[in-house]
Amino acid sequence: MTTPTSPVGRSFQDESGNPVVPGRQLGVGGEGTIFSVDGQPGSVMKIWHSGQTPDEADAKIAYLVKNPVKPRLGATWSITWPESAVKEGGVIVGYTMPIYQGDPGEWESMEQYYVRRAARSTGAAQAREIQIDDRVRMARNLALGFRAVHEAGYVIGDVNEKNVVVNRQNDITLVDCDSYSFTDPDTGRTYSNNKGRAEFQAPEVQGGYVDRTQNHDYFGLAVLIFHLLTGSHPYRITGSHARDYPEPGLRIEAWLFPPARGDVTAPPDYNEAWDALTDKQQELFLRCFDQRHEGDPRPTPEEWIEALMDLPAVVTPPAPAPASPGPAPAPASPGSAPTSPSLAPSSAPTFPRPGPRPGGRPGLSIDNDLVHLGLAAAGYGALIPLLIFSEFNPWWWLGLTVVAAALFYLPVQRLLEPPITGMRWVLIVAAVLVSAYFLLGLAGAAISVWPWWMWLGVGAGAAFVFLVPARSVFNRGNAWRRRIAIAGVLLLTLFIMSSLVWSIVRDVWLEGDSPVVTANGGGEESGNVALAGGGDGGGAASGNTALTGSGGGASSVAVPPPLAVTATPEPTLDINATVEAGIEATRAAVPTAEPTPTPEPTPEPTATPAPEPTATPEPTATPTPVPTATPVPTPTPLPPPTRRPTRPPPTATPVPTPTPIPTATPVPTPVWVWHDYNDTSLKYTMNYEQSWAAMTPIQSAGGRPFFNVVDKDYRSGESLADFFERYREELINDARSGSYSMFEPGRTEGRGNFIYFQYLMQPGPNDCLYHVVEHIFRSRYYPEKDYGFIVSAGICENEQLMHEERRRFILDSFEEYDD
Amino acid sequence: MYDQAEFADNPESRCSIVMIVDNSGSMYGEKIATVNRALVKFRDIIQRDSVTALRADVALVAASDHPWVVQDFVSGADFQPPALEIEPAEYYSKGINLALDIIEARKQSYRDGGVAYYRSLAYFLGDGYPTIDTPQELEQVSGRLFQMEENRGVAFFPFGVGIDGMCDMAMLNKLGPRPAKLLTNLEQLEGSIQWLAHSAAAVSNSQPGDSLRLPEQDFLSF
Repeated sequence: MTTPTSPVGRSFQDESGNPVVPGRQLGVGGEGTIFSVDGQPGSVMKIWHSGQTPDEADAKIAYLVKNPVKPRLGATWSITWPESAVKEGGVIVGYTMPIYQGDPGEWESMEQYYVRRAARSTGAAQAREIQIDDRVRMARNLALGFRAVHEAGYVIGDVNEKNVVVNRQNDITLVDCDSYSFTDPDTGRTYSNNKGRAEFQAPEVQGGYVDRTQNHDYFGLAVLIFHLLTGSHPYRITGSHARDYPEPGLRIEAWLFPPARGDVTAPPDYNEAWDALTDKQQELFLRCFDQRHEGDPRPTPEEWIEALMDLPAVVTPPAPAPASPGPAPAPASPGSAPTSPSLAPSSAPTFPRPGPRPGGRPGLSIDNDLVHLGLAAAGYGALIPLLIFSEFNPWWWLGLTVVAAALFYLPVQRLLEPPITGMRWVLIVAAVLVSAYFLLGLAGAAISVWPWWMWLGVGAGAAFVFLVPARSVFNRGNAWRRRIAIAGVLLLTLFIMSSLVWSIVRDVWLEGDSPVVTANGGGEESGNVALAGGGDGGGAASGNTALTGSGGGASSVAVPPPLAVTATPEPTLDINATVEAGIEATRAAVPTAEPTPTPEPTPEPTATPAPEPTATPEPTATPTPVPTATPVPTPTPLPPPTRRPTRPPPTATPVPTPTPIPTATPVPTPVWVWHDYNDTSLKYTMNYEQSWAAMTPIQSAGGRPFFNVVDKDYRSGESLADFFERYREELINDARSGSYSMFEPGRTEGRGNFIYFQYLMQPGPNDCLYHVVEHIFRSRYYPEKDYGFIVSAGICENEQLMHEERRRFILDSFEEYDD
Repeated sequence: MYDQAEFADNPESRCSIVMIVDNSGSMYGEKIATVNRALVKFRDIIQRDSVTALRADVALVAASDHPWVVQDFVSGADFQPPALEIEPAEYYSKGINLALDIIEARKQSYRDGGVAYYRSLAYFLGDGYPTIDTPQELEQVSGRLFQMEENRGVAFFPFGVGIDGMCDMAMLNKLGPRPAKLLTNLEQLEGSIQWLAHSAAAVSNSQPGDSLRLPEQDFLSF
């Protein structure tokens, strides 16, 4: 219990014995009373309450007077440092100190500047609006003052808002300097003061008496700055913890700092103010208030000075708004957004650099999140018509996803801001993994293969970048903005994920769209060929999606190993490399296949394929399908005609002289065309047929027909997938029935834009072993046209030249399209 | 019950303070005048310090025959004590229970608003002559007060009003764990309030889990 001092009837003297006459009483504090000093307009005096005189006050004040902390001229902070001891009959009872600079009436205790209620109730300095930048300046000046005190070797100890007064220029003055702790280096005597207010004391002080150090001051400084920047005590919590830890000291001791604790909630206005802080400021606060940083050095005044350089950094000012007595928190309505510079960068995808920006980092307020959401939604929205126009071309999806990723990149940056501990490591590792996957998907796109699993990568990447803002959005209180933001996140996520699913469905099950085939794909489609081969190999590694379902027991025999050729970013593809690689891969599988061929290898070839070395194909492009299948004389290694029993005999057209199809007039009836290319001298054959399921009007390029494609065989109604399944079974049956001396079914699979089917066969014991590879391509370059073609290549194992020849053949056909 | 917006407006830690005043017929005259002066003094103490004014939430309960909340919780900065008038009879237990109930509600609003809060203070100003209460009721409310003191939910300060012999201090002493004091010097009230905003010496040897925290030293020794 303290009794305010009455100066009545007392006489005071200064050090040298001159009388000090107290004047007006200016204020009463916990330790003493402040009086003006008659005849000394620049000074005031503090007379301690009885019982509040510090230990060894005499020596202490003497030391303080001798070793002052003095602000430089023009400093934005000042300090009421003791100037002289005040004695009463030789006993020290107080001291004199300088009066506040300027008009003393201007100075208010600091809570007036961050507690709206306080600002309203007194209404003095509060006639003006105290904006966030004012309070950031106050905080910075406060840090400047702390730094100077600490540099002089003092410990403030009893840090609290009543020991800081502020004027209208945001200057601060530190008061109550007689309670500072220090050690006199001459005598070694330590003057300590263990007083304090619990809400400003570090956790280790809460439990009881600890000699204060500057490190404890750092905690109090952080609390004060937090007060100034957010308007709240850092440990303002709701929920069950609030019941268990009602008092501020308990909360500090339990480290219940909401931003650092997933299990501790805070009121909405607290969260908004927190999110408005710059990343750097958040980092410093976390280093002080997050238990995971217990033992780490607390942020020093120096660091605060640096972190508080960004004046407009805080977007949502929980500013004491004297004019608005209403409960509605004034901060940051969306309408205020344009005035904030931090929102400007959002207009374009930004990839913020680490480190402070000149204009201040945009705080991640909910408004910023909303802006991001809005931009992402707008970006998507703008591209949707294009998407529809392009029939949901994967390339457009790629663009959209990149836009979304760019817009949402900022929160990922936030994740990477130090300090990095605990769960954040997990999140970061996850982010790195997902990002790698994401980038892999992008790389795949860049080199033009677009299998479904790369879509998955892109989709996952997009989902991830959505997750981070979603997390920050979900953490908020019950503001309508929060609900809107959540809805936006959910909608966009749904949109992305559904597009992903759609692309998978579409690409994996080709029949969903229109896989067919025109003759002679365009020149640019050469990319397809090469990459198709590559993607093919990659597919083997990452889960084959067998287009035709289970291929029976035999199918497992000769699965080629994955190719490593996937990533050849050259725009001009190297068919040679990839096809060769594919063939190599197949060949690699052969040795295991040869000793144990198909279940019953029949030695005698009851070969339907009559070996006709000189196969001059009939150059008749027959527009009318022939109902009955008369086996076309095909060169020796050709697959037997039984492979397409339901089809008319293919009419072989020599490739060099393709039959031009009348392009001007739309063909009323579907046309079946089969081009065969045979070169018996090379013991190698290739068929490529347009028509997988035929064609309506046709355009021709370089004399070669192109057909529109439908996804069903126009006659049988059979889908491409079914056809392959049947075809494969037929081949297997042929082999079982002894048609071949050896037959090894390979694999059939669908990939983004092609179907790949391969098998190994040997028509007769004396024939060479053939690798037959069939591709059905659809051009990704003209997806809207759905042009496509089938290339069927049988390659004799003994021959090497064929590789070159085959490549040339395919390339030639493409090059023709180019002109 | 309480508007959460006030906590965004003023997120300072809170201390809810209830003045429970006996304003029955036996308080007529000088006694009720003393009470009214005490209330004014109480306001002055609270409003003398800006931080205390922000932290104290003050309510006033009349423990009359039909106890009622004369003033629901209001920020100390806004507290204006009404001049209490005499009502027919006193009903201590019901009045105290009412006060404890509104304290509970107020604390819940603190939790919702996120503000930290200290142990509540309940001042009882009366002469110790309840007329309606049954002994069982008094025992029950006394038990509740002991319980809440034990849980550190509330600190109950009974004050006897009236010159010696004109109030039943023995009865007031039995109400709560804290002995009653005669309300003579109004400055008495200050000691139990000022810790709210003043720095206090740290407790040197508090045990883990010990409930004594830094700033409450002063009023506990009051």
